[in-house]
Amino acid sequence: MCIELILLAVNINLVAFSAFRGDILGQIYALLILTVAAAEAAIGLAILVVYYRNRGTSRSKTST
Amino acid sequence: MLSAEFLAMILIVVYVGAVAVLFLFVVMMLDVDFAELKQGFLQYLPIGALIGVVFLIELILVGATVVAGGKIAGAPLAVNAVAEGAKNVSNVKAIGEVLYTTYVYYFEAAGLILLVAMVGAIVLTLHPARGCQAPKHRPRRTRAPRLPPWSCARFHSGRACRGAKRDDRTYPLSHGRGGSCSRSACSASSSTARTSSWS
Repeated sequence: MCIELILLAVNINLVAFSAFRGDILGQIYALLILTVAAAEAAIGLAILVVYYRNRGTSRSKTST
Repeated sequence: MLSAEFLAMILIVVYVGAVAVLFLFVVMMLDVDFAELKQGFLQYLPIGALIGVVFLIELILVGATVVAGGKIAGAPLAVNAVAEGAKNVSNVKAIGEVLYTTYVYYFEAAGLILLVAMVGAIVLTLHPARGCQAPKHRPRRTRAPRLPPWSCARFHSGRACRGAKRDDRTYPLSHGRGGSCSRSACSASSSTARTSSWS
């Protein structure tokens, strides 16, 4: 989730700078970063599913 | 808008599609105590209602201003002079013209990243199903069958498979002499049993 937020902030920054510079490269780069963020979300979801399957719950207190 | 309509729409679609589903999974898997949640909700309800009313009033004011034809006070958006805006080309067309010609290799690299992520997610999720599979049809028995003393099901039913369900005890794992029985096989069977009851 934190990585999602960081990537989203970077995206907003890139789009703003691309608008101010009059260059469309920033939006292209933001699109690529969006791809990476989506892939990361998918992997996180898979890890969560596996974790839930191995333990009955995903509560982090029981895993210590 | 910073003349980035395509990116805005794509952001909404991706985050509704992926991250909202991720949140739903988290909420589903964390066994949330709903009574406690409701109590906290009622506790903070007046503050939330106040903030909601304030935002609603602002929204109505802005909407009334726009409908009345007046311009919203503020800077006249000097950022509209983006290159594609000067050429009278839409944002989507500009992005497509650049993305599929100059940066086509980066575009394909992004597709490759998505493919790797998909394969990784499938491999991670499908891994425990390769162990000892739960039988499709389980006959319902009332009493536990007599287990030979070397059976691993008798050994594992109490302590090792603590997370397993209780009726796993009545169905011994067909491991033969118990030589091939291990903790991983037991946990795999319990996990498959749990997923079969879960779905």
